[in-house]
Amino acid sequence: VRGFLRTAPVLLLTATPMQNSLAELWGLVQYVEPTGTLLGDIATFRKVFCGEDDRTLVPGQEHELQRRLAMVLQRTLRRQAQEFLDRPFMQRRCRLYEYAMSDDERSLYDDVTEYLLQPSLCAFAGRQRRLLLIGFHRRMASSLSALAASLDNVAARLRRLQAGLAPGDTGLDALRDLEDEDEDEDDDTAGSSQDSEATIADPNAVVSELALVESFVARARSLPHDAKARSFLDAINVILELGRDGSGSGKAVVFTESITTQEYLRKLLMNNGLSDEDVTLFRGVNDHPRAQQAYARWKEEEGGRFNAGVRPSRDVAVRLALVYEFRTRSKVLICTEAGAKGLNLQFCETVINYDLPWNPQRIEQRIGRCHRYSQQRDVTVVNFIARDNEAHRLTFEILSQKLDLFGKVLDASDMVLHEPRTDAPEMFVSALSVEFESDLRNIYSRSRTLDEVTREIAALRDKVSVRRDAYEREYQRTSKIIESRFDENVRRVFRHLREDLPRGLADLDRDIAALVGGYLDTAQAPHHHFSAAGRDIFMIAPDAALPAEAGDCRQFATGDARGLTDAQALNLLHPLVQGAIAQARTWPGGSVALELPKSAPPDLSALKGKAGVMCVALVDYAGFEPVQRLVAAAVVDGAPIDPSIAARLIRLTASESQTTEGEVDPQLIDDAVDEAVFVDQREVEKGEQQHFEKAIGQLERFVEDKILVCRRERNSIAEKLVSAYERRNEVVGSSARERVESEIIRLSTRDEELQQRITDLESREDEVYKKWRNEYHELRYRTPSVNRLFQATFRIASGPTAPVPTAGAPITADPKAADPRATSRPAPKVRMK
Amino acid sequence: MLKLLHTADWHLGRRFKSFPEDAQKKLSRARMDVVSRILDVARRNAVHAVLCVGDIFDDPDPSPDFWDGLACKFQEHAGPHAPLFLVPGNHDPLTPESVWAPGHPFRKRLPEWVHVVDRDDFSYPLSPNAVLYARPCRSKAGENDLAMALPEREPGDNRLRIGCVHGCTFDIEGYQTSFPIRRDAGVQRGLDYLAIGDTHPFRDVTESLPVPTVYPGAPEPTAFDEAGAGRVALVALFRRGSRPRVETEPVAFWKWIDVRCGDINELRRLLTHQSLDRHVVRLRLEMTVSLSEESEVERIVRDLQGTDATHGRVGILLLDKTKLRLHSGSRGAFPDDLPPVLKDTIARLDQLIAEAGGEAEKETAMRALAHLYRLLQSQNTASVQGAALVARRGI
Repeated sequence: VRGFLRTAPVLLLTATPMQNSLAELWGLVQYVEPTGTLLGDIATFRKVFCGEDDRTLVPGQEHELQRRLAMVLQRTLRRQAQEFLDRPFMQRRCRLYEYAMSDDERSLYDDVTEYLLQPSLCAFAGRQRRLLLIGFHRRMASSLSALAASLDNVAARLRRLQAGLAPGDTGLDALRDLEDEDEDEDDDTAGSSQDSEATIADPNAVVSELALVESFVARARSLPHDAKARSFLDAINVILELGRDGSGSGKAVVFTESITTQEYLRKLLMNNGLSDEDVTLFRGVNDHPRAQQAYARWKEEEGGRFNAGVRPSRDVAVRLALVYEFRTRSKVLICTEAGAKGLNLQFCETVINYDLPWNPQRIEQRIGRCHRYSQQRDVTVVNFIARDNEAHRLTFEILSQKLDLFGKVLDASDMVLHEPRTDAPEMFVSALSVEFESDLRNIYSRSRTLDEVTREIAALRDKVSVRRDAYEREYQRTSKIIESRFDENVRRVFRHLREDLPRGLADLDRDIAALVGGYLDTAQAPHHHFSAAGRDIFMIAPDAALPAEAGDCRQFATGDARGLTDAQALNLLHPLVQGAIAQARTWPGGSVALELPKSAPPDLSALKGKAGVMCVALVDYAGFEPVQRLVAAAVVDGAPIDPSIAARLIRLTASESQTTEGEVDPQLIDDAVDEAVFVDQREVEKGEQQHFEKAIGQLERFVEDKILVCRRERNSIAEKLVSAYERRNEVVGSSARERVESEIIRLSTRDEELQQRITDLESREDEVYKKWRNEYHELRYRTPSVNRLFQATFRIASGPTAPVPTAGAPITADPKAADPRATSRPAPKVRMK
Repeated sequence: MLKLLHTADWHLGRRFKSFPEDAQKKLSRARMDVVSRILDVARRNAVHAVLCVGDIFDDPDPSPDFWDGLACKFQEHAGPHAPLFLVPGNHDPLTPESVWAPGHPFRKRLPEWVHVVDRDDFSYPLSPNAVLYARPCRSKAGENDLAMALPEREPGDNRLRIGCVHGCTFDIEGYQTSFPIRRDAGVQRGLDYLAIGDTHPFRDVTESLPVPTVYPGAPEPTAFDEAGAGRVALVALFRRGSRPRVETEPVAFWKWIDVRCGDINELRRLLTHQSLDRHVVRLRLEMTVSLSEESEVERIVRDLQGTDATHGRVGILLLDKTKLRLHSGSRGAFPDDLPPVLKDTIARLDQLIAEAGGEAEKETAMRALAHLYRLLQSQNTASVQGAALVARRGI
């Protein structure tokens, strides 16, 4: 990987540069610092920087590590970027709907839970037991409908067992209702061996278990819509109302883990006033008729935006179509977990977790669909909690209060239930997520009663709390290692983007316009060139000969490509610009007349009316940052002029002239070019020297790390030797004495080796050091190559002889009415840059 | 155009006895390493000659480590190489016993592109249109102007003429007056550039004259008062009559800085300096501090200096604590809730300081107080109480 990375610059982006261990940081640095000398090899790094374990830093090394990391790592906090963003990051808040289960619901929930917690169940025997049970618990928390469907599958499984058949895959079928890729972890346990275990179940037990499950199914089916569904409808109504009064988008994305629940919610919404079009479903496989309809509509309305080469695959197109459908037509998008990744739904500001995954990272991903850059409203996350289900309440408490997943938590009546400690929950979530999910799974698979589950989750809450506190302490300490850029530095970067960059681009556009204008003039391509809305616009006659790659387009404009509708944007890669550059490169030189502007500075004005020879050379500087630069040189009145004046001379507008000036001594031109290169080189050296100093400094520390490690070991050996010598004086018996003697010899030998190693390192006898040092010297001190591009004789006119419009100068005629042929200039011009 | 690299005052073999042994090694190594960099700069700039104008060695007969080391640097460096001229200076004059003597093994180890100026009438044609004149120092001190001893321009000689001597232009008050050089010697001798060496910062002493006379400075500084050292000069000569361009290029590994801290805040500010790892810092603590500040001073110094287990922030630290003083007395540095035995000890030490008959007695009491304070900071009450009891017995 290092070999590959060395061939290209690498920018590594991460929101969580360090989670638990300094070794992770070491790992990240290897990607962006392929010499491996910034932090050394992992063994040396650990010895130099890590204390007792990878989580702690050797006291006193904070600054050293911070300084080294600052060479390759820059951290910008969200807070620092906020004021410069066109669309600032929005807040997130949680609205909690608490509902009370009816007595029938509650008793069904308790009974089924109790059934699932029994240690030996015929339906869940074998190695699938844990997986199936956990899936069941999660579906119970989703909806009655999902529960009933799953119980049906369990009943079918038991019936097969009763008939003496293998249970088939009905158990796993039940799981497929959950679009949850993490469940695959146990999939390899599915197969005949488990089934065969199940088939030897006690027939009487199967009969009674079947009767129990069938009674559950009947009770579930007999219940009307559950209390959670009613709360859901309340939430949807609030969202639709916000849309109607203009204070919200009127849209919500609903997440559920269960396909059955997804379908159930769709019907629920349709039965409560929403139309078929108001609801879009999104799942792993989108082959339902509504998806087909959405795809057809999207293809018709949006498909044309894609060129042949970039058309998305059918699967991707359907995903795009469903998002498009939601954005343009629907009010509610109901997603399974398949929608938790990869969708950009920032036009919607409400996320409803109809049920909650046990993996907090998943929840974060769900919220991240809407709570992302370019969201323009605060994002509301809606959650539901059964008031009398202590286990669920505790789980939610951990997610909301210990992991701060949902931001500020309000109940349905706006009472603040929790103020977050952090506005960057992803940090804790990513650190604690896996452990939390695994703990929850263990609780549900090993507990035998509901009380036990509740007790265990309460203990988990305390454990997460302790873990979070420890994490925060560690984070506070270690975050100092990764130096945040000072506010002023961040501001400077943003100011640069906001102010200097547009100026630089404007200069580039001006040069491009001048280049293209000169090219069209030289090619005698009839065209009209004018300025409008800060752009240089070229309207070229339809039959003008342009590079074939430019196609049929005859209207071109400089500036930002965004917002251009009836012209192509001219940039350095545009075929017309490329053609102009290629053509300019072929110019062999000749004679030109230079036009001195009226506002020319005195040193240029002093050359008025004079003639000479100019030369432009391309200097190729190898180095840490290879760069090619054009340098200009000129000889006037038989003497080279200052290179800084020559550099401005060649930017004057020039027209080809037939006048040939007298001969100039070639040696003088050589001298002028040499002087220009000499001066230019000094400019380049400054940046190169900084790179070189940094690289060499890094290499020196690389060796000093090794010396430090050797010295530490020598100190430790010295202590051991003292102890060994003391023991030698005290031991009784020849064998014991021999053991101590041999230990002393071993320690002394090692000490001598270390001493020699230190001496070698102090003389920089280290292969890695020498390799990189040679390479850096080679990079820094490679001789630049100089290629002369052209030489031209010139005479500096005392002022514009005719009104020659320069690039960017406005032309008063209405450009649209103008005939390019009528306004094209007859005299060919060469603009030299 | 003729391009030259002009350097001087390498002082190979100089000992830095005021520094710890480790630091001495680092400084010596840097002094030798800079030679490679100078040759690299010469190659990158495709110079026509490298002029090393005196005091290459710190002594005319340096230890073999240094002359052999230098010969190795020359031999190992990858070319192409322009001719390089070594001019004996006042530190390493040309004497029969010196390293420059024709029979010295150093001379035999030099590659053919390295030339030693071992004659008073030394000249070397750098090109058909340019010639170098040089003259060595033959003693550690002399009153003759070696520049004025260079040959004058002959009528009709239109070549670029470069002069090369070691000596002093008398423009720094109180500076040595050995081997004086007239500031207009370049003009007087019809030279186009006069390359000199002696003082260690870079200086062009003839900015108003048409012939530049330049000290390139030591490429690796040798002391703290050499602002502007650490460079070589690149000289571009174009044609007779036009003043050559003289630019400098940094080559030093170490930057030497002298820091005086008059109070604890100045010392704290030193910690905000981001990169001192390539600096040789002489830190002079000239302040009076309280007991609590003294602990902080020690911590900061440890941070700067490093320990066996940690890198110091400063590359090489030379610490001068001779003017670091403690405020007398405890001055409320101790907390109020100490055990009575400690309070009593502190009070008695304060009294001893106030009523001390002599400075030594006062100093002892202050050190005892400081020791007690440090123990308390380590929060080991048992040992603190033990120390207090010991202190009381002492009292």
